[in-house]
Amino acid sequence: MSAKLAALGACALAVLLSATPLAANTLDMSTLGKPPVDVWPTHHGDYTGRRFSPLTQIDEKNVDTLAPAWTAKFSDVGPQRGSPVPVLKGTPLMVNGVLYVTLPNLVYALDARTGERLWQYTWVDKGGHLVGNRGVGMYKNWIYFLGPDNWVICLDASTGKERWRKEIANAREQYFSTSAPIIAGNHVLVGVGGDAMDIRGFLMALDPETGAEQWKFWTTPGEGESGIETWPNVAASMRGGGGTWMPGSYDPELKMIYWGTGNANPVYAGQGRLGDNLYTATIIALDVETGKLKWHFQPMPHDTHDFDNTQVPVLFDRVIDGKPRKLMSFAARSGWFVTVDRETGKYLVSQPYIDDIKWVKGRNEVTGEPISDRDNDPKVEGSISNNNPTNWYNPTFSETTGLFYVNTIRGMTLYYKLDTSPIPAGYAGTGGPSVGEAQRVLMAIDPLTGKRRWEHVYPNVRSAGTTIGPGLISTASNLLFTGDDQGNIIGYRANDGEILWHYKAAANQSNGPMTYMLDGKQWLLMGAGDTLYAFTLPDSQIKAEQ
Amino acid sequence: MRRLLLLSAGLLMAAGAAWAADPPPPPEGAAAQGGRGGGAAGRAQSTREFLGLGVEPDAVAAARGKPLYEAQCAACHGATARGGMGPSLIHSSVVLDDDHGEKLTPFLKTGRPERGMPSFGTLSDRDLTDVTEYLHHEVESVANRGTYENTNNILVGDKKKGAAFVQRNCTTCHSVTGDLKGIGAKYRPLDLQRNWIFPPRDPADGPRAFQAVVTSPQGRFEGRVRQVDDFRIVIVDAAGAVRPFARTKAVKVEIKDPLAAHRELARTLKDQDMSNVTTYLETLK
Repeated sequence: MSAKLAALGACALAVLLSATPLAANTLDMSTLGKPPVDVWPTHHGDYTGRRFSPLTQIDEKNVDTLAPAWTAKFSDVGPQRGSPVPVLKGTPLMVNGVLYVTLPNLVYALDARTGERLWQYTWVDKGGHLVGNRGVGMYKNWIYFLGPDNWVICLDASTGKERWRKEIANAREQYFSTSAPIIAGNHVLVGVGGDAMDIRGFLMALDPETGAEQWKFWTTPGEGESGIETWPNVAASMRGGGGTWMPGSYDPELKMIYWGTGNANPVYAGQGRLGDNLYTATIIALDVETGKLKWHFQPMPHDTHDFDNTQVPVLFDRVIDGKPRKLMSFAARSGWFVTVDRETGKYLVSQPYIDDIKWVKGRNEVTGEPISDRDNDPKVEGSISNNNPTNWYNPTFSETTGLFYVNTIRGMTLYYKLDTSPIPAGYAGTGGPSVGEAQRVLMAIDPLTGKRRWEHVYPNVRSAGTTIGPGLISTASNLLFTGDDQGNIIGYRANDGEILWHYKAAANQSNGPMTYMLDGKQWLLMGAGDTLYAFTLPDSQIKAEQ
Repeated sequence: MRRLLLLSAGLLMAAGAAWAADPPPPPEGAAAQGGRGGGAAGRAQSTREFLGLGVEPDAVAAARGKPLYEAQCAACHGATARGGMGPSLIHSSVVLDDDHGEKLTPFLKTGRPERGMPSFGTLSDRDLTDVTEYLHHEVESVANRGTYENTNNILVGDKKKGAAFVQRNCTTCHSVTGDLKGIGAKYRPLDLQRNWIFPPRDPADGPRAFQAVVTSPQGRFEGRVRQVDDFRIVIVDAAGAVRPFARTKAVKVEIKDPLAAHRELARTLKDQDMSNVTTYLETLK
């Protein structure tokens, strides 16, 4: 980092691109937590993590006429430090006709009607992993963004001008930030990633007005705290991992937030941290006001496969045996599927969702948690185990079909332990590439039984990437949208997986899709590589409906 | 219609000449592993940039610092600075906040007497800087996975059990005096292990390529699959003709994988068997 760059960082830039500044753009806070209709005000559209839209203008009959109304390219960004092309991995927000789109170090306000840029904010980082950025959070007329070097930056939504910034972790200790802040009540919820060195993960709540810390939940316990019995010593827990690098979900009635935590550290060598390693690779339920742990469920005890558990806790309600139940379903990166009562954490369903799961040797019949097999740990001579069965890309739950949809990876990988010392550190080993081609499989799972209703194996003679994947969205018109691993964006009939529409993009879909009404039209937005695609029906189809 | 199809097949054949060999797929996670060319040093450099690891440690100074560290520091902080009686130094924010000794060297001169760490003021500035470079080098060897090299001895299985596994599971298609003869000399052990479980599909037009039978209103076509998704399939027939098909309802596609048995093997293989077989096959020189 040159002195000049560092100086630039100190006065990060907001460039107003339109001649007339935006009128004040204020989010109606009452829309947060409702199913998204003419607004997309938070990462998943609402707090439930369902990525389900009640909209029905695009339906089974007209979906094959969907076409891009505009595309917005970000190729002008060029190579970023160590990353040859920018890849859109975030979900934009859409508020009052303005889209907020991010790349690492960059926030853009776009005109949602045309895709044109209104303003751009550039952060100049002093380190941190540029692996991606998942988007912004919004509170009234303020935007919250995470720099890769763990700065939370608050911007004016109308101008892109910075209001304040706060550093939440030290990038020199190899913390990095990629998450989209979630605004829950009077809290800005932010988390961190790690792995290169061994971090102690945490989730933090900040005051939306000032950035002042409200609470901090460490994802590994300190001396004398509950969970420390799952570590051989306090030092191991203090560097035990458990990143919080993806946004979680929130139940405003229960005042509980649900978050998935990342893998344990060191990554592939577990001999210095024998035990289950709570609360890494765990679903945690916290009191939103205090950050106190209410319950936890660990789908990957003592992870040694880099199976971050940072997937989306999906909240939905069902009547079971005549009783209304508040539920949460989760398809973990480890290949384990769980449906629990989200008030208590007690499981209804707990079983693998992939075939041939290798790292499990049993199930704890009291908690429902899997028991991991030490014989399947990475070894010096190699160990064969599952590719990561899914990753950060979001699943969806359709209220219309009652099914949970997730993009998965089928295949095996060789894992090697490289660091055999009693106190290993960092990655400490290697995993991948796939032995034979990794196959992408879209699964529709009944969350009340864990059984697969249908699956779609994407045909490909090449190996599918296992880390960049497409998120999903479902709509009330029995539709499901996601991408394959060869640049196709695809619309399915949600109940049976029949393909109804596709569009060939210039790159693989790389983010979570969103949909909303604007000017009487239903818009469907997807990012693929460096391009954002905004699809609508042709006017003739919309008129035909009216 | 038939003429049109033939014509387009002809055109594609011409275009196909330019792709005479299918380009190999890029290695998965190349960027994440820092695979931007330039060999080991290039990989280390690009991974350092991508992860934001900061400046590169001075390897020469670190080599000078190693014996100094071992003599002065290892007793408390462990042989590789990961902690002992004293804390781990590779995880220490005092170390991680330093680039080339500008903060650490003054710190070492003072020590932390109140916590039992003596001053090292008797060492020269250069010696102290060399020790800090050694610490940064230790951090680099952990944090920068672009520097990782797998030098593991993986030939630790039971040869006899490996031979029995091969006899039981592989001899329908393979023979140790035929196609497997000399396989132990052909690959280094890590590649041998990967490749016997799932052989590379090279050459692209060889017998290990995916094969397809496409039945369309125009007829039945057979060939190796160059590309396939839900909407399109491109096959190359024995004569080299490249035929693309839109996968409409009228077009039936049947794909065969000559390596299906290996996929099945990977699905069910146990670590111990894997290790035994690799150790055995390595002896087939």
